[in-house]
Amino acid sequence: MARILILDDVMDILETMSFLLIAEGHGVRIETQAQDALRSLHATRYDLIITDALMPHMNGLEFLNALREHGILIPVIAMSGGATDSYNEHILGALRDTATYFLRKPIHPSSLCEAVTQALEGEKL
Amino acid sequence: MKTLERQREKMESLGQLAGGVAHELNNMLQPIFFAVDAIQKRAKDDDVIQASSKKIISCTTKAADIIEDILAFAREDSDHLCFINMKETFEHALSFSKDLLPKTIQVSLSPCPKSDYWAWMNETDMVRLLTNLLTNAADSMEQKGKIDVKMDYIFVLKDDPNRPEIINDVLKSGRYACVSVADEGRGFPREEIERIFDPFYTTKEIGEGTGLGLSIVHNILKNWKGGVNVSSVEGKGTVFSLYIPVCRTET
Repeated sequence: MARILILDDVMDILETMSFLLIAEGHGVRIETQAQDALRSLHATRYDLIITDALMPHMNGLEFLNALREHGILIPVIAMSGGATDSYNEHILGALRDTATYFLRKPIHPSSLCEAVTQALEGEKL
Repeated sequence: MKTLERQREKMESLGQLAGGVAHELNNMLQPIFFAVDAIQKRAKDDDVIQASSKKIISCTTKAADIIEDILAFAREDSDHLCFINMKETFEHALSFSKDLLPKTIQVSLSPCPKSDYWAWMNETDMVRLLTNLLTNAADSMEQKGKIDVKMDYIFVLKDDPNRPEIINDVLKSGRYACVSVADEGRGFPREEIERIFDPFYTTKEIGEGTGLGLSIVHNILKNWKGGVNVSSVEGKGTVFSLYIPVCRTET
């Protein structure tokens, strides 16, 4: 069992994704704001982070940079429903290069489980 | 001239709108996928729940495919562009695209010129261009008949009175590959020609097409600094001509 933190500004995604991951035997914490997620990450040890890419206040790339600045080096699965303009396209491109995995929404449940397993196994190696 | 400018501005704002809508819709489809999975796992022995869940998944997948088309249309800068051989890329993409057509459609390719040119583009989008045009041609001929495809190199001189308006208005002077796809289908009524590159324009029955194919074609060529021209006679057929800038540079 792994401890997973999920960050997304859409509560419906957080809730249904946590049903899936809890059913897979993982412990899950959900956050809608990047700042709150950073606070949780300081307070508790997690094995994996799943984050949305395009969110208000702090996007996925800024969140990933903040993690690295805080010395949090656990694997990150980034996900996105697609870019809305060229600036966001650039953010998604950078996330594809820096996150452990990048998934396009809508993600099929089996693809998410596979990415989670691989990200966690990579961490153990 | 002003009409075309306004048309381009309209397309750009529609592109942004479509990108935003696609992003929101993907966020809405995501919980459906996850929630159905939870339901399926908890009612493994219930045939009705299993069959209903499969229906939800297949409809959600179809919706996701439509959104993918919308995003392809909205994308300002799709896959990375690079210098690739024009003739090879075209022939390879065509062989892939024509395999998707029914056997009752014959695709006849005129011999390509021997000269070698290179274009700043990508093969994925070349396949998408040809697939869209060939599928539309096949549909307009009710899935039987002949489609003539040709690739040639031309030199465009700006403001040449013998060239169609699009060439003078959109393309700079220079060398282009001109790919034409001609069908013997039902053609477009004259008054509709201006609208065919509009997003969601379709002559197909509801549920048979998204109406995004030709706007994707338009956007890909715009991204390659090229252009597309159409000539059509109702009841006789349509010719789409794609203009792709080429040069002699090698990789």
